[in-house]
Amino acid sequence: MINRLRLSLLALITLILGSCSETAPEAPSCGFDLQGMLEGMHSGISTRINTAQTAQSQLLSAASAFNDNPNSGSFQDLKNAYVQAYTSYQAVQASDVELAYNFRSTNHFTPWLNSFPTNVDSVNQRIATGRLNLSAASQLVTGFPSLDYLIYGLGSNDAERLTSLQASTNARQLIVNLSQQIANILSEISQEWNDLENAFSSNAGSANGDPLSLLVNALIKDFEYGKNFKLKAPAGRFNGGIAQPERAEAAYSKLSLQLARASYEEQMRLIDGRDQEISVPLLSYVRCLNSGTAERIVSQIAVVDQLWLDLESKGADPFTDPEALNIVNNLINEMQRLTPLLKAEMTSQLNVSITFQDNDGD
Amino acid sequence: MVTKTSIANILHQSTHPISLAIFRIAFGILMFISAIRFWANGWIKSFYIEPIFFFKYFGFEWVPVPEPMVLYGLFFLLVLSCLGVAFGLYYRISIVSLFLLFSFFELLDKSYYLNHYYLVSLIALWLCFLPAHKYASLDVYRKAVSSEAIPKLAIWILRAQIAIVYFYAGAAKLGSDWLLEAMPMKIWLRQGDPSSFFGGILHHPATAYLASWFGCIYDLSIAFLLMWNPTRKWAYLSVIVFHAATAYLFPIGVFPWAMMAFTLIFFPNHSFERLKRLFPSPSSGANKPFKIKTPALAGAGLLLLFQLIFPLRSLAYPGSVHWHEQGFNFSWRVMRVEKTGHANFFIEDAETGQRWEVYNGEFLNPVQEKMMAVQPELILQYADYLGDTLSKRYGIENPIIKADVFVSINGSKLQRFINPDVNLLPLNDGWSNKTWILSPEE
Repeated sequence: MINRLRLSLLALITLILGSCSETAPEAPSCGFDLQGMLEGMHSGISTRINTAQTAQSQLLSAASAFNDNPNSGSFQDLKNAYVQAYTSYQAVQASDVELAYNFRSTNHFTPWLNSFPTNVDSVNQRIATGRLNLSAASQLVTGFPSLDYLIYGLGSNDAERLTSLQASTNARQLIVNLSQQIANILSEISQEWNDLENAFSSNAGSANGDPLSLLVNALIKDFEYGKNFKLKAPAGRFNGGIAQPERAEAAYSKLSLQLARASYEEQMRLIDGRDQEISVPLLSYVRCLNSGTAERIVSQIAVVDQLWLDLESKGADPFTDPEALNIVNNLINEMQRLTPLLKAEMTSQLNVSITFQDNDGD
Repeated sequence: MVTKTSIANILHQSTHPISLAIFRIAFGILMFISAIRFWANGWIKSFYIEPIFFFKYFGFEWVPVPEPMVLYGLFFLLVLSCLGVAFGLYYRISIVSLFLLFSFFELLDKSYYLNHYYLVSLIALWLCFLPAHKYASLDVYRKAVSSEAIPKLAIWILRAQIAIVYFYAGAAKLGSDWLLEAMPMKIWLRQGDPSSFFGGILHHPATAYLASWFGCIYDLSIAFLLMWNPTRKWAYLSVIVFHAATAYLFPIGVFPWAMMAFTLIFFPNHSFERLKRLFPSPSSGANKPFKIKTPALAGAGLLLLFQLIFPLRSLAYPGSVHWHEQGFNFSWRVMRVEKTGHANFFIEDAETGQRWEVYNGEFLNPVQEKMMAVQPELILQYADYLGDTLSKRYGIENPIIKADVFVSINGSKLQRFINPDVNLLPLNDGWSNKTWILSPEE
């Protein structure tokens, strides 16, 4: 009997040691203030949403002023306010989480605010027929991309654009209505976000639906959105390598690069900090859990950052200038390498499941 | 100790039908709740209607995805079947319908495979042949069947089924990563703020080791402890504690509650004396000799034997099953590994060298994309679909499909999963070893 027990024990030990071994990283016990990090992130994102709301109200004011008095001065004010509002919005998009997902009973608010390119035919038809009420409008005629067309797309230069807009009361009113709609949506987002404050200060779980999970899911989703649609699509990666600048975000205003960079910076701000507004970013927690993963991410982000600088220093249109396009492609490749680091390795460490969709497991 | 006498007793004796009836009622109710939850969560739409591509099970590629109205109609029938099983009303029709419909929905898309869905199909299959409606059922009430004793074998079949699940789940945990490194438990227990009291406990490595070892020992031994009189009550208490903990920590739907209910089958009939008083006694007494037909016995034996052998098929493939996933499913590797990945596909024109990237979101929903990225069979199916769809779109006569796939296993450093230079299109799925899967770095 004893021999049998010994044999069994030996067999068990042999089985254990001989069994498959996944290369597992060290997982230290870390005394990290996760709740504090989440509170800081909520607060930092709130500030950004407020900034976007302020910029949007200035855009609405500028649109109304231009509608009442369409001249070169008010047109310039409108353009300035538009650039500011669209750039500020990039920070909001990176925090498109939970309750805001339910906006208009659809998945999330991004499609309503930033589906590009806009449907030019539908916008023109609305101007021609005076259908300026946007309550039943599709996602393809709402948000900033439609404003981009209306402000920058009705002529080949500012003088022509101003003339077109001066001649069209409907176009000017549509700019006001679109600005108002964006302001309303941002207001709802702000409200939804404020309602999440309690969750961010009381729930440090990582299960589906918990703030950490929602935040990371939104962040990764926005990172993929930026990479795929702000860069890959206009660079022609889905088109056999032939660039499609017409598919770029803000193709009429030529703000594509500025917006893509702003979007990336906002994402990285949540991941590695970038400034003091979010003093404890996600990577602080990842570093606590597994320093190797954190260093690999930091190292890859540095490569991507450098390519953004190279691209900006080129000062050329990223999707029409061949040299700039070459840098864009390198940038996409490096962002592609960053993707699984964030989406697979980092999320594993955080115990966050990337689903973007509810389901059961195992 | 199992002796010849006890085996003969199991094979040829009858017993009071109450524990089988309780099992049937619990199964029907849980399936009903599960189906309603599935519907309420909008999963019929998001899993079976919205996707434009479906991953098929090997050998079941022929299973069609019906029109939305038909899908909803079939799901409604499934809900009714669950109620029919729970109440024991038109039981045979209900359980056969439940088995067929549930399995049909499972077979629609492989990316939604869950171990507990497989268990549900197996139990439903057993119940198709077991007399679970001969007590506490509306069929008895309406005199469609008489309330009578049932073969003891019916109870033991279900016990064996559950024992197989637990034991293989435990055996799968006999790995150095699970026992010596407490992985992936260390990751999964990262719930809550590590600076809080409760979070601190969960984050502490000792907790992960404790949970890993307890989980392994629990799975390996629980069925035996439930079978043994002196340990049964304590074992069932541990069933409740263990599954309540898994329900709290992991998003595994009704599975924990199902296991709490299913394991009641290990209790002897005298444990349910109070419940027995609620229903008329069976017309035939317990412990009378019972003759089971040889074909039925052979069928049951074969199904059990299949379940003992099939989970071992992964041993035929070189390398870790958790990495290559050949033989991973249908082998009860429940909550065994943390595996995440990302796949980027390309289609190339072999003649011009022109190359298009694929936006997976165009063809797959998030769950499908997530599961595809870590499962070679799904990668192959998707590549095949892309080759067909995109070659037509781009007018490519000789398409090549390649993929950059990276996987992290148990939170480890990302590793390339498959050979990025291999054209996936000519490859066929099957039982042979997939040599295009790269070995993980040591």
